[in-house]
Amino acid sequence: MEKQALPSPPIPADDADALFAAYADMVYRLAFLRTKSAADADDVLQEVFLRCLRAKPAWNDASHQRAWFLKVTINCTKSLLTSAWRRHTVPERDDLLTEMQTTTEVYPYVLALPAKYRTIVHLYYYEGYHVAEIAKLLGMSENTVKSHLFRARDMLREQLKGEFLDV
Amino acid sequence: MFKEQYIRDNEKLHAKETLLMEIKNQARREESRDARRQRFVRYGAVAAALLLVAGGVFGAVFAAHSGNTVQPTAEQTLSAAEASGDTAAEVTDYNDIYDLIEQMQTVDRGYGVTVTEEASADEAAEAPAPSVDTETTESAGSMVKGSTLNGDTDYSETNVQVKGVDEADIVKTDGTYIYYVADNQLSILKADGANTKLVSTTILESEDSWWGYNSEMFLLGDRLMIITQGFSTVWVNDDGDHYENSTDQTEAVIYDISNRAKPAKIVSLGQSGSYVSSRMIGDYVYLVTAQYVYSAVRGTPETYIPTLSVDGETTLLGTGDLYVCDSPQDAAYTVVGSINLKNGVKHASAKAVFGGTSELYANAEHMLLAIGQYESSTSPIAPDEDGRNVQITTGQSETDLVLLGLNEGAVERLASGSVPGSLLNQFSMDEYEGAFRIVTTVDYWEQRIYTDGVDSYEYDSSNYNNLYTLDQDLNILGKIENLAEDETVKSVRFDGDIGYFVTFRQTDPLFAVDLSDPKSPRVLSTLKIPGFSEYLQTYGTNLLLGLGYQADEDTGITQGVKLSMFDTSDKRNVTEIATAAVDADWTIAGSNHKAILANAEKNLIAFPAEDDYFIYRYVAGTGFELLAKVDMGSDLSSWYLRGLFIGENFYVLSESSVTIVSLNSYDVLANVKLG
Repeated sequence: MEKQALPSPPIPADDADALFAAYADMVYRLAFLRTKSAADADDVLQEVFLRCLRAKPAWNDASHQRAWFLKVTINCTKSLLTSAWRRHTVPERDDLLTEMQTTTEVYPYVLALPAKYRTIVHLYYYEGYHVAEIAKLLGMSENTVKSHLFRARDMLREQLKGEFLDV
Repeated sequence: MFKEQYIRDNEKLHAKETLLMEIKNQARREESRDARRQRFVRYGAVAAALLLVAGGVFGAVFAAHSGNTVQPTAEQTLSAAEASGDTAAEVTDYNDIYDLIEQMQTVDRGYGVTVTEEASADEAAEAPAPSVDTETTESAGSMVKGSTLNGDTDYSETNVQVKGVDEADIVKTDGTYIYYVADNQLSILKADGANTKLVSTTILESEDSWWGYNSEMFLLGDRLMIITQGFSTVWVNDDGDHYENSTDQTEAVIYDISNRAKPAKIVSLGQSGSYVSSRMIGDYVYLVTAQYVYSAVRGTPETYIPTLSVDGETTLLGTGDLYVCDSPQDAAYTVVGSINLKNGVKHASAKAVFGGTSELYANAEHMLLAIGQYESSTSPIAPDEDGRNVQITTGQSETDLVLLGLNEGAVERLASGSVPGSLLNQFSMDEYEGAFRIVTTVDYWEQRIYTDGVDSYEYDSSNYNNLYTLDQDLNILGKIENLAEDETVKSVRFDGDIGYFVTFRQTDPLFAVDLSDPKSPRVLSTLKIPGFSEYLQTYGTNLLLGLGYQADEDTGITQGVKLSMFDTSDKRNVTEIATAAVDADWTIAGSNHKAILANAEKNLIAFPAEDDYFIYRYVAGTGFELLAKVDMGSDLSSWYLRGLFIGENFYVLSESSVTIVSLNSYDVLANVKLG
């Protein structure tokens, strides 16, 4: 049994302050990208942390914990996005969405992608996960993730210019 | 540079700091783990959580601004269900359920309830704290002698709550072979001390195997059942809208292992809902799942009625197999299905209780479902003593109970009832000589909304602990209430006439309760010690083993894993006679009793903590002695750490390898790689 780099321990599941400090922005960013709504992202954020405090999951280490938060965020937004209530509601005006669309460089182009591509792009570029890890997180095959990522990149390249063409 | 710019863009987004306070307030309200209410809380409405309880708060906030009166939609739901007494629990038409769901969703604005794969993590955490008894006692036995295929070697079995009622785990042995499921693969080993060999490795098909917490199994002769988690999807046509609707699904995959080198899949039996727990009694496995209804569509029962499936062919549960619990609060079912593991190729039967998801206790004849609920009431807005307009909502946790009869695969609803408070885990419940016994923690809270000007909120809460005894109709026979105010139950163990439980805030009172007369239970002794036990198990005669944490007596902050041995020979004066500080800050064993092996006959107390596996024994007068510590550091996942013994060899299993330790010399004999 050769020693590998020691994993960092997870933050205790009942330490709301430390968990919030470590993961709130990460959860919020993914939730906002998926829901395109500040209010929904707030809801999802609360729900994700409450689930954590309720369930007190037994994480193996910090990276497992991080993946757990991302996975639960995806689940929460998934059920939010498919809920009957939401499908019949006219989207409210969202100042944050407008702000993000007008004050950022590449974000609006990612935001314009279909939902299933957005999440993969975010996990790949922002969270730095590999295709295999994304496949596990999303419960998809690696090939599906790869093809979605290729297609998303093609779509982005058509829109983006200059220095961002390295996507 | 796209990547760098995308990261910079994202960094403009920040979670609101104010949400932290709301999350903490809400968590405090819910406190108890089983009273899960999977709802979204609207930002800005601090009290939103209460609204799904009675419709009161949302109605009240609404009323405060519009002058309307409170709209108690959910209360109507409750009274509708209660109105006709016993028969109300039965369902004659799928639309009965649909109407209940619709009313619930009107109250919480259609935020359907959710819960997907990570429910497995819920289950993990909520599950068991403790268990194990020796053969000298009536209840439970984690370790039992068995006769192996090749002789009379003794070997350990899964640490279960009730003797004779098997519980699924990631490792099983028949004394000759070891079966181990981790990281999406089944490994079968021929156990032979230093000559142990890997016989076969089978990759399991499961989309969500990475969250393989759920992969547990049962073993019966030449048949193995592996329980995993997945999804089932139906296409829905709703007002011209065409979309996919997916539901959590638990799969019980049965393998023929008569050829250990080549397990052959026989059938995959699906049951809607995420995996909660399971038991095996005789040849029958009782599989319990929690199905949350995401978005019910009228006319498409597949979106809101539990289903069973055989190799993907799905059937709906009939109305005669559906019940509504006494006070349904969640659009969710507890589904109980039975499968004959010896020769079954489909479910033998199934029943589903609508209204919430549950913790469960089972013995040879009965399964008791405990469905966590919250009860609340809201007063009209009125001036307080200072003349400020205030609306007061009070609430507390409750547990709905449903008693099921189990008989050779048949599942029958026998009775229902309720007790105040919520349960810690399966060990909080027990049945002995015709009486049920339950330990609960009641969370009581009060929310004041001041409505003059901008709404402002005040919140206060307290909790205390109760013990109830109930008869076969689930009527309360006797009780002890209001124990250990502002402390919560950390572990429970019943042992015949005596019940032990631990509550904790800063120190650990260990209560011993006399239950010999169920009508008048009484506290025999209260032992205060630093720290607390998360797991309790009787160990031999007049000893009680505790596994938990050391804690600072002033702050209650935990300080590392601790073993305790209590002398229970005088029930009126239980004392802690030995302790050991384990060299670890935390252990997964406290939340999963199946990770613990404690066998008084063999004198072994073994468990994982952090990345190591510890093997202790207990010597009277000397205390705990560390026999071996196996470093599993390179595996990084104590979730999968298990230990078992066969004869004089101890096997420590992890995702990547099996380490074999001699119980004579405590030396490592061999290490067998898996995969």
